[in-house]
Amino acid sequence: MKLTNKQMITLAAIATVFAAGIVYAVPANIPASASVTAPTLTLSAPTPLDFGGIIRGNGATASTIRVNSLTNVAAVPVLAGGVGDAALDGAGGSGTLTVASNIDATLTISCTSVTGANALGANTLDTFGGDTLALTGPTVMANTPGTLAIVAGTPSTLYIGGALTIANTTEAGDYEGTIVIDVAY
Amino acid sequence: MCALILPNPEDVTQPFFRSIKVPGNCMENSFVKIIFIYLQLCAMFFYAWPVLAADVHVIRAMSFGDIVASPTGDVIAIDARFGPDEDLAVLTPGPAIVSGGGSGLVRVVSDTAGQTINITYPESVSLKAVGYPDMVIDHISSRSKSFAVSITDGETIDFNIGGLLHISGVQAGTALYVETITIEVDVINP
Repeated sequence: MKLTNKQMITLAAIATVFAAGIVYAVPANIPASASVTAPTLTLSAPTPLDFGGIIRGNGATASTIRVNSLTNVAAVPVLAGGVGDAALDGAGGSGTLTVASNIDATLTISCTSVTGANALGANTLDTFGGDTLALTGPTVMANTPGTLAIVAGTPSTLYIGGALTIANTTEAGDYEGTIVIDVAY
Repeated sequence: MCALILPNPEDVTQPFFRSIKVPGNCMENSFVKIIFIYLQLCAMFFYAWPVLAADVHVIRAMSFGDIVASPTGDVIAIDARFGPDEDLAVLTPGPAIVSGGGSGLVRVVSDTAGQTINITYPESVSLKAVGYPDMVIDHISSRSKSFAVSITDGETIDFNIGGLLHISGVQAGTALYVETITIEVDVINP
């Protein structure tokens, strides 16, 4: 059999396409890496919350003493709410909590407990002699910001407030306790 | 200097030709004949033409740099579609801090003008560190250069490689995560 011109042209075209369309597949390996550091949160409490010296009143109305740090500012104790006839000596102020991190974050602040120095009850400050002094209302959280925005590498200060009610029956003495604050990302 | 050495008469032998016996009358079959000629043409084109290819070099590894991960998880992006990217972006949701790092670089040197170079990337790759969960890199092809046609002989074409790194909120601990991305470089001659 002899090939016709048409068949030859077709064969040539096929061969040309075959030769021209040769594909070379070359694999290549590219290293990939990432160095990850976990976020850190460092806390310290250099200054205690201090309601200062309070002179108990003798009237029938109890006095509320508040350290208002709700907007995360340093505050001093003031008479608030149902003002009785107690008096303050001008000392005291917000507690401070210093927070540092290696990352920007908005922290959630929550007070989980207040325990008197002698563990005489929840949400109380107490004395060695057994007297207790309740932190009123929602206690510390009503006077402490619920969130705190921090910037990596720049320590931020969280101001802790609270409120006490002093009745005319409150025993004189030094009341102490520990406030536990949770700071979470 | 060159020397012309005449062959030793004893070494001179008669040339001989290999003969191929085709059984029966198979070459009479037009189909077989066509296939035979076709294969001959293919072989001729393949071997007679210079073999064109391209050199592939891995110039730079892809690195997501040093990352301070956020507790809520992060997505770190290297966008190398239009060129090298050394300014990594932190996408939502986390506020991770990234320093250093940059796109990978594969350099292809084309043998001849008109070569089509197409790179196939994997769907995803998992970076690994002993004792920690893997971190996935995906969207590699959509953030990398994957296609080019050479214009001149010996042209150097850079393919920058990027992707998205997913860091989970439980990526606790400090570690170096590594893996190799295997790509395929297809070179199609003109």
